[in-house]
Amino acid sequence: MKTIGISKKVHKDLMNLKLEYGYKKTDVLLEEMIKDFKKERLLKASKIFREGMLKKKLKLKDVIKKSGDIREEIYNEWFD
Amino acid sequence: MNGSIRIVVDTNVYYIFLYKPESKAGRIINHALENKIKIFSPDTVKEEMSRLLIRDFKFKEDEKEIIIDSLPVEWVDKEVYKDQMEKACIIKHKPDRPILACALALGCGILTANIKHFKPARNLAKIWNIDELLNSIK
Repeated sequence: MKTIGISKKVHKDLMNLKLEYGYKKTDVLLEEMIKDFKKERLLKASKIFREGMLKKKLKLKDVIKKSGDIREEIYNEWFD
Repeated sequence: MNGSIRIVVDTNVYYIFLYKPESKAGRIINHALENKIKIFSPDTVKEEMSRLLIRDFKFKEDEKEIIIDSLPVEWVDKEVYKDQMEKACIIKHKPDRPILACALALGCGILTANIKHFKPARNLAKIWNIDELLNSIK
């Protein structure tokens, strides 16, 4: 186990969440919060990506095709 | 954690996920997030995505970073798989070889939406399709 320093307010919020949702261990609660945080980031990434596709009028097949061309370019630069 | 499934993921799987997070590719990415599988990709995949996002999407550096950094993948440096590039010559389409070389170096299978290109490597590494992999994850 490791120790981290957190403010009294964050500690209080964590303890309240732990009680409210019936977690026995803060560790498990934090683990779930980290997973949710990462899921949120992934959804944000997807939103940015889809908005970019719309803006540039790209379809998924265009993205894959353009990426394939870049893959070839990288291969030639790095390995040929 | 189900440590038994470690897999090298091709770029197209990330694009499918980013385009449609509720897709089967999205379920794979979520399984990685929940540590049910462990995913890797060679640094060429990261570079490929980076160049596309900057060049074709005209994203700013921070937008590109949000996308790349959010993926639950361990990027594999060329130094790790370069010795396997010769074996990877079994694949005719040269640009795909780093993915096979990476899988060989790590002793993993490959997950791709373009199985056709990797078919000649079936005896060297397990080539997964998305459905098959989803069925194998408990």
